[in-house]
Amino acid sequence: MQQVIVGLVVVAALAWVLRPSVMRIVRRRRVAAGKAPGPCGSDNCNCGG
Amino acid sequence: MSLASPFSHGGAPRIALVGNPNCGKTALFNALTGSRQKVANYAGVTVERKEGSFTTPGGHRVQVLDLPGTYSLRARSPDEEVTRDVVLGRFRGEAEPDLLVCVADATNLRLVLRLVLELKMVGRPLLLALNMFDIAKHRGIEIDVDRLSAELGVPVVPTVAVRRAGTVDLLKRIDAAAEGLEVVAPGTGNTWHEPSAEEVRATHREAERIIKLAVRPPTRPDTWTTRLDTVLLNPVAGLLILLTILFFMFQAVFTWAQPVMDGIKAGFDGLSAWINGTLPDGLLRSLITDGVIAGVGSVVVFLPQIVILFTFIILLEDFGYMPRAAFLMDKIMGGAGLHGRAFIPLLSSFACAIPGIMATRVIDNRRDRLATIMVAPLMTCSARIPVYTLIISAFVPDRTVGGAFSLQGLVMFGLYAAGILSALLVAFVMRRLVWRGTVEPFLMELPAYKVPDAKNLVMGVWTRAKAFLQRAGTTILSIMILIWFLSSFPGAPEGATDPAIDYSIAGMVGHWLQPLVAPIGFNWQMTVALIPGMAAREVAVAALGTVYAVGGGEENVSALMDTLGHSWSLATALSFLAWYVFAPQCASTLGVVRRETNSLKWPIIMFVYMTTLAYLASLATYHIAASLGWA
Repeated sequence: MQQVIVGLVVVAALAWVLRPSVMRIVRRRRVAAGKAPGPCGSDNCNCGG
Repeated sequence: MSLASPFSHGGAPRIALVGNPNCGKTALFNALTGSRQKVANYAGVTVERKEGSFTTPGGHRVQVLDLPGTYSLRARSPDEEVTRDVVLGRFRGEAEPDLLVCVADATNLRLVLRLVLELKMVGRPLLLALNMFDIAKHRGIEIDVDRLSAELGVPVVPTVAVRRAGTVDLLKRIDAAAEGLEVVAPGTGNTWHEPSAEEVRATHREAERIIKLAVRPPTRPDTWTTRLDTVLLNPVAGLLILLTILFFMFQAVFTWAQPVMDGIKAGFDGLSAWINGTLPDGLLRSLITDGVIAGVGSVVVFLPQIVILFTFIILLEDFGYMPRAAFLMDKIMGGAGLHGRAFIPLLSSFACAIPGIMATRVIDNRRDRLATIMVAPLMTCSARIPVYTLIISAFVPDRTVGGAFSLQGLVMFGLYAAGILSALLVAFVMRRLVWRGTVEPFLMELPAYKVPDAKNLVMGVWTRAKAFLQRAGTTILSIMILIWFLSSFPGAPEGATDPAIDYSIAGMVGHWLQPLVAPIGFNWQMTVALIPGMAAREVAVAALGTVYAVGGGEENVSALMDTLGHSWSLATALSFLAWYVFAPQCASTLGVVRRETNSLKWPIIMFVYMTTLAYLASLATYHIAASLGWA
């Protein structure tokens, strides 16, 4: 039981630490696939400026 | 002039707060939106547009933009360009504002009236908020609000943003504008263009004419600011006072924080003892005591020092002392090749290099700006405090010197001075070798002294304390759990004689990398701490707490200082301090440098030069200390 709890806590911590990098990769892929607008000023920006 | 609602485009109405630097735009933004953006008594606090929203008493949901301060729409620096572009509707991705609220410092109308006259040429609906109206009244400045409004042709509302006074009237005016009940649009269309010298002079004459009609100067001029400035801006006495203030600040950081730190330590130690007595020996208990409490607890104990340091900084900011300090330092900074405007970014870097680097947007010359960005991380940020304090507390005796001064406080002061001197030295070398040329002259408005606002002080300190605790409870906690895991697995094999941590992943990585840092006196535990310390400097302290706790040391927070005192030599400790003065141990700072310079080149150069400096400084420190018999 202790091993399961500790395992879950470690996985959750790893997920938290990796979260920004994962989100960045997901975002980049969505922009590349045209499913999300790119950052303002980029070729994929659709903010109308 | 139009009676039609300027907000009739159907979308959420947008208001832009425009004004001279340090007139209270952000204070008004906070008062309207309930936000807690940083305010201070000096120019250049806001360097990018900030957005908030609120609902007026009339039920209009309004978006409000807080813009960097400017004296004119003829933008000269990146922050002023943001304001000009938003006001003129040229900002990429930003619709034209429906209403411009020009915020004015009522004690200094001369400069802002020129801006108001320029804003009128933009042709957007315009309101003038006469902020700091209470201070103007207190100083005996009599402003005929109705006459001012009539002469300018725009509604004028007196406000005291820090106390939310006048905001009700301002909101009524915004409602009236939204419903098209009040004439606030000059209605001329945009006729603004870059003014010629003659047009600038004509605007100046018009502003002077209106001032004469609507403003009566005090019969007895305020001599309080003038009298204080004769002492505080004196080239000799002023510098001595500045040094004394900084010296006192670091003494206080050490001596005042101690009782509270002892209390927090006792709390964590009690929690650790309680868990040891409650949970059976095993993985879970080790995770909580060695990983979470020993790691996170060893960082959280430094909260009182963070609070004391920021209390001093916010008090000095609110009082209006910081621009004076910039004035005093201008000659020294100019000698090092830094622009006078670099003082505020460098000052912000004492809290954190990230806002400091963003604040370099107030510098218009690219070379001056790059030089400031490259040295900003050398200023001692608050994340270094836990590292410095831990090592100083473990190795520097807690005694007074000269009858009154704490020796630990003196060492801390020395480390801050080392950061400042190294920043000046690096800037000097860069300006001589890379960016040759003269430094442009520095002009900065010195604000009047003000009694610091208690609410702003409490909110400012609370915001920073909360950010510190949030980071301890999220990023540092997560990293410590992973460090604990890497320090605990795999376990020692049957019949192993060395400590179990030597067989763990962290132990193996530490031993493998240690030859690289052996010449500077670092052991393998320090190597393990430096790797997660790249995320943020204070993480290294937490990592040392966890690695030593897992490695068989005591897991209570108080014990880390004793453990270091016994297992490191004085030469190693001094080398570690030297490393932290220079090392680029902060990935977020490198990220923000990439964003601000729009290039990978500058963060790479920063990383290489700072790492080289850190290694050389540690190498020299270690070997000099060793030759003195401290190894």
